[in-house]
Amino acid sequence: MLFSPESKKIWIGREEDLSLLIVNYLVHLKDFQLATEVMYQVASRHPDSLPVQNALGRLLLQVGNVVEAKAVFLQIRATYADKPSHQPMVAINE
Amino acid sequence: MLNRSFGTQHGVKRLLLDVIDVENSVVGLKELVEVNSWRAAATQAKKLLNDYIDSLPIQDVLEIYFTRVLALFKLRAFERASQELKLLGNLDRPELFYEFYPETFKGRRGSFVPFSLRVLASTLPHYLGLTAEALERLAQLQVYVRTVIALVDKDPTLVSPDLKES
Repeated sequence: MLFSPESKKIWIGREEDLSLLIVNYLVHLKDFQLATEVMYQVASRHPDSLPVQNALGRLLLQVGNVVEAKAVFLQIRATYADKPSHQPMVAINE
Repeated sequence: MLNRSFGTQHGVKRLLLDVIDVENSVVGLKELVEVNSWRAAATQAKKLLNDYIDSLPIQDVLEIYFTRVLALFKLRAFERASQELKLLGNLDRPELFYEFYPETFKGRRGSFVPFSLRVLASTLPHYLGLTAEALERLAQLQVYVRTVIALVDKDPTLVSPDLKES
């Protein structure tokens, strides 16, 4: 019944999912500036989350910031180069 | 449609269940959800709520409510799903918390409401064209989640709220 490390991980995952939902809705409202700001905050809170880093790269690409998007994608590729289980998610960006 | 597009052998593979194929219980409802029979699941959930709302424990009632709203959501009946949620009322009212029943749940803290139901309730306005409201609700939910994480950081011996498996 105690709060195990697994349940903390679940709550952190929930925070991550909610953040991505919020960014998605901001994009839907076409508030790209706020969406990008929030996305950067989310990415700094979850630096080890591949879905979050992917989302940051794709959002930057969507708003036309090709230079930073490229930097993010290169960073992802370098970080996960030796992790075969993450390759499908890295390959999505190729 | 499967038969027409991919041939009969693919069509046969999909198991279709209806309300009459399963027993009138939570187990039957689970079977319907597992085979993605959402229309039947919505009907079954409503039937269960009508028949057993007074005899089932409140956690089970909320789970069935969640299944009903999720089924309507999957069927893209957003208006209907929203009406069902309104019937449930405020999800933060005292009687939906473990603390309200200290004798039954000794020392346990937190809400009975499944987290998925909260997320569903927060995202639903977006599908009704009210994205700004959905954003507001999601932000509130995010604050709640952050509070829980902060509380755990402060006191790791805290009893887990609304997590069944812990």
